[in-house]
Amino acid sequence: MATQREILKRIKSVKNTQKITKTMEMVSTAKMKKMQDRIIMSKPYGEKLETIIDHLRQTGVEDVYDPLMQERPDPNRILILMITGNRGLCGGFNTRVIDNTINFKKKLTIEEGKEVLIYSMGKKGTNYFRFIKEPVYKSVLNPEDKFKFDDASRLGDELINLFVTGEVDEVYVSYTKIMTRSTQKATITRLLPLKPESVAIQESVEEFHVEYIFEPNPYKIFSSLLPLYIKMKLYLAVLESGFSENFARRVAMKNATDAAKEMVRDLTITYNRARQAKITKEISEIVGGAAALE
Amino acid sequence: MAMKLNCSVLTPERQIYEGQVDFAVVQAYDGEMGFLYNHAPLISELGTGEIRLRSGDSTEYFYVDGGFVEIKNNSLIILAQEAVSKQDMRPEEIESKIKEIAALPKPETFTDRLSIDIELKKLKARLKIAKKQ
Repeated sequence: MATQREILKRIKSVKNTQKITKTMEMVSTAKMKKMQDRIIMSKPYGEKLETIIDHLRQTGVEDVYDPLMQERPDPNRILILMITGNRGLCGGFNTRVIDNTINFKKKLTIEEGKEVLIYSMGKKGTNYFRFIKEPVYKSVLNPEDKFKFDDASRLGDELINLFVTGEVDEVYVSYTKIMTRSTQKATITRLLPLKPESVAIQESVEEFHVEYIFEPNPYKIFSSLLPLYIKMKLYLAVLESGFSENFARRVAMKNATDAAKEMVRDLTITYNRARQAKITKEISEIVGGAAALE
Repeated sequence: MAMKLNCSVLTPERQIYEGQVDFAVVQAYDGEMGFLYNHAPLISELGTGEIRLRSGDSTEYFYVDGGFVEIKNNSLIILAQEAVSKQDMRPEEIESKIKEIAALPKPETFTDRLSIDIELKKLKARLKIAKKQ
């Protein structure tokens, strides 16, 4: 059995770890809250954009030729934007996104013989690709809470440019989507070419009897709306990933704190036992000594 | 019932204004566009310039750069790509930025020159609004 001193040392170190994990938990909670607020503040904008797009579609812009919506007949080069975190200690958050991306990539390259480029945002994803010695097309850090719409806008322009110039035929985003407030899921969605989402249209059919005046014309508005819509999607994807990362870290840190607490409890019991054993031993030695004198 | 428009100004990051206004002027892509009560439903693209929202005696000013405006059933929604309220702008800061850019050597390529020109124009538009009384 370990000596008392050794056990005490361990208790101390576990307690220190517990303090750290507890603090990290609180930090993540605060960051998560901030991200959530930003998402909530951006939601109305995204929704409004979607309704305007719906309205435009309703007026018959649907069959307009817009390069951003044009499906390529034989997509060959595909870009995947992978959004991971910069740091670990957040449970399976990064691994889930990476796994998801790799599986998707395998499916495209092996089964369909396509060329896949990876655009990695976040240190963790980049490091993983370096580890398995696979080249990435480009890698940037995850800007985390410094992420502004301007950054999303720049990123959007870059992706749109790649797509329009024919450098790539399709663009996907692999990120962590918020399903409900407490569940997130690593998902891959196609960003370009844009797919018309018809769900929203049916819901609000009765609204469409309103005849809108369009300035300049619906087509022009439509083609300048789409890039904005894409940027908004990117912006939200990064924010949602940020939220999910902090959520995952919070959960991981909470588990670690609980585990540390449990460990301290067990160790304290062991310590007390060792102490008691020592006392008992000493008493029996004294008693034994006294008995020997008589 | 007062003849007021429900107006909200949104940017991708947050909502910067919400309230009732008598008269709204926005910078559309080709000039200013005014809205009064009972305006016909309209969607338009925005340019770079100012937004004026008048309610009663007070007028609020915003700088706007790109985006869209929609009006329907007397609710006016401005979806700006970028928008700043007049209170949040400091004329001195913008002036020094303009000077900074103007002091730069002329770039070689046409596109670079163009982008600097656009940048300057935007800053000047900002300055104009920031200096309003």
